[in-house]
Amino acid sequence: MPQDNWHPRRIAAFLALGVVLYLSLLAGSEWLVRIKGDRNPFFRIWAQDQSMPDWVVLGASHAMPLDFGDMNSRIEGATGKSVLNLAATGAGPFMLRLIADRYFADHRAEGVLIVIDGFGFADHRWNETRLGDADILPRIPLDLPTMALLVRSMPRLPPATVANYLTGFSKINNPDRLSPDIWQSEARFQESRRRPSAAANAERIAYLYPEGATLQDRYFNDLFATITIAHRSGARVILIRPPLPAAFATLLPFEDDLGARLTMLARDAGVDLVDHAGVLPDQRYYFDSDHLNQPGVEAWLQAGLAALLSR
Amino acid sequence: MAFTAPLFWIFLVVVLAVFALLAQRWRAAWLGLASVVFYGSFGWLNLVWLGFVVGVAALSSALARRGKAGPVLGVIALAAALAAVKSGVLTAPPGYSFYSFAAIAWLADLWRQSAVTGQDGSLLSGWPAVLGLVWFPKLLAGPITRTADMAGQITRGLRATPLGVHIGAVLILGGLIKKLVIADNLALVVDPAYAIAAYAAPMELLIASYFFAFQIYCDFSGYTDLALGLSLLFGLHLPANFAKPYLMPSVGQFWSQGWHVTLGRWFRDYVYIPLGGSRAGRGRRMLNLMIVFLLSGLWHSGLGYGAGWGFLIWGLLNGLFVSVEGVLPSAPQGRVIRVLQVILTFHLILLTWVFFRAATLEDALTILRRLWNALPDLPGLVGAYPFTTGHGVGAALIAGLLLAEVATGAAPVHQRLLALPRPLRWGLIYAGITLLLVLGRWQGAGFIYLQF
Repeated sequence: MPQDNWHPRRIAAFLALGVVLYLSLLAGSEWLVRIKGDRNPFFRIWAQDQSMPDWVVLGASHAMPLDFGDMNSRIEGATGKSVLNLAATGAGPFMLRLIADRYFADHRAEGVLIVIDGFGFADHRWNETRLGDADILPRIPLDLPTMALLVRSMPRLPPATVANYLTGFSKINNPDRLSPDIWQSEARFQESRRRPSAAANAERIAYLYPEGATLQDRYFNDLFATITIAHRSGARVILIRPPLPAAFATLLPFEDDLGARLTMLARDAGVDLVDHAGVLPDQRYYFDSDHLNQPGVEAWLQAGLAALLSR
Repeated sequence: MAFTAPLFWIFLVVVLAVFALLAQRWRAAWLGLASVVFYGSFGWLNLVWLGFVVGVAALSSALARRGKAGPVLGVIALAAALAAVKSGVLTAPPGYSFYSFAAIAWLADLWRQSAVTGQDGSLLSGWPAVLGLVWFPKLLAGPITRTADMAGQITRGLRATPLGVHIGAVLILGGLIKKLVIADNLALVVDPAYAIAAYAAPMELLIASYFFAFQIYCDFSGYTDLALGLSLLFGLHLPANFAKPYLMPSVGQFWSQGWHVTLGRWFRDYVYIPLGGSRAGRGRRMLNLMIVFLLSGLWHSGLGYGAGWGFLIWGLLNGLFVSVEGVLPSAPQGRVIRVLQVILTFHLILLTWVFFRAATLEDALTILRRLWNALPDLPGLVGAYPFTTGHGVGAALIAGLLLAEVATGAAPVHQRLLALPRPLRWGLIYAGITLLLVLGRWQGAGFIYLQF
């Protein structure tokens, strides 16, 4: 039974052993991140060697099918250009800016293709609070450039998220630590939805644009900053609106305003803005309400994407 | 500012640091202020409710010197407000019924002068009594304290001792493990099954029902361990509220010695005994027990999982079990008999938990009917069921908990842990910390009993 007096040395020894235990858990968790990593853009940057890809793809989930299955190598075969896909689910312009900042801290690229989604400009959950999500933060490898970036990004990046990254707590505590780092929807990449579902579309729009969502200036500034980061490293930039099924696209809010502001931004930044939103209106090119399936990606390549990347 | 939120731990460090620096005469005032800030963090309007209860209790106690009218009117006012809350007329903040019960006990003690330990009953009035009522670690979900006990400790002076801090830290760790590791991981299996009671597979309902028994135990007793541990950091001893309830050999002992003991004592002292207790014959005793458990069911109803009749059935079933136990002949002694009694008691309690957890009475009856119909095919169902990692983790956590409780015998687990040689003790504490870090669900739901 412990005695009823203070023992500073014993307390110090207990705490020191506790620190050793924590560091051991952190090391084990970090090792798991590195062997299980795949989709996380920060992981891909960490795993990327110093070779310079022709294209880095930035975007949210609409850009991810470009990397599903063997699509990346097929795109490279069709265009003769190497592509590094750094898209992440729900990544708005602030997230894209962080990813670009991290990538160009110690890598280079010939060009950056930024896949633009309107929802990313409308809510903080796709931007400032997105990095802290359980499907992203625990999968980011611990390295000095990322540490510096996240610390520098406060207070816009919530300090709790930065503290979580620095201490590695989300990795140690990650319930999905043993699962592969994949987006579950990838399993449906071969599927095709025959008809649009009004209920599914409405549900998806409500999710992407929660109540009170509205286009916000700071996210356009983030997109501009992302372009500037790429330009500063000598990369050219193309902004592209991805294909969407017609039934879904008609439900998107703020589209006129978004289009006008993107046009102005592209002109000011000196980059091309390519609108492919209407090139594949048929629902059979999508495996759910709005994500391209394999025939959809192949059709997009033929509809102009391959030509764009081949330039 | 829930106990599991990072902000709470920053708050605690600040409160502890200032507490340590302050002179003894200012400490109670500081802790009173901290308690108000803590409760206000859940919504500043909550303080109006707390202020009402404290105001009624303090005013009634001040009037007590002029006669019993003050405490009587105070009890009536508090009971009426509680009844209004439970009937849905008013919506109360978290913990309201817990501090209402403590305040009613305070005034009832004044009325009867039965718990007064000071020469002139001074422990039942004044600021120490108020701090005893609003003390933040137990404000939201008990234990339900007695004013004289709390005020006595506060009046004698609050001082953290190394042993108290040591025990407190172990209790806090144990409480966090119970809540974040065991209860919240079990909830991942329980909640989906009970959400679709009519459609879930019978095996899923069976597993969820067993898991819920341990979820609610670890959720509630985890809160109590935290309350006890946090209080010890300030040198304040709260009464134990749980004592290995699922190892009790009868439903009566489950309620009187194992589960939410301070609520059981409250009902015994302020309802059961005033009604005549067991002094007026067997029939009257059974009636009194049924009244107590009916009131307990009413206390749970109105909030929580369901707002309907399920809690009343839960209370009445428990009352029935305890009453029937009272008329049964004593069972023969022996280890095997005791094990069988423990298993039977657990399953009787398990049956009542279905009414407690189900969203409606209809859901509870559906679950029990589906489980009953599936019983003949149970061996085949178990063999064919696609058990998941979640089931395995839940079963392992329950097995670990039961092993710890059985292995430590009659003494509380933390007491036996502290008696171990240091290397073993530290090893087990580090193992607990590892569990908390690796399996704790820090983003999980709040404590269940905060709803009551």
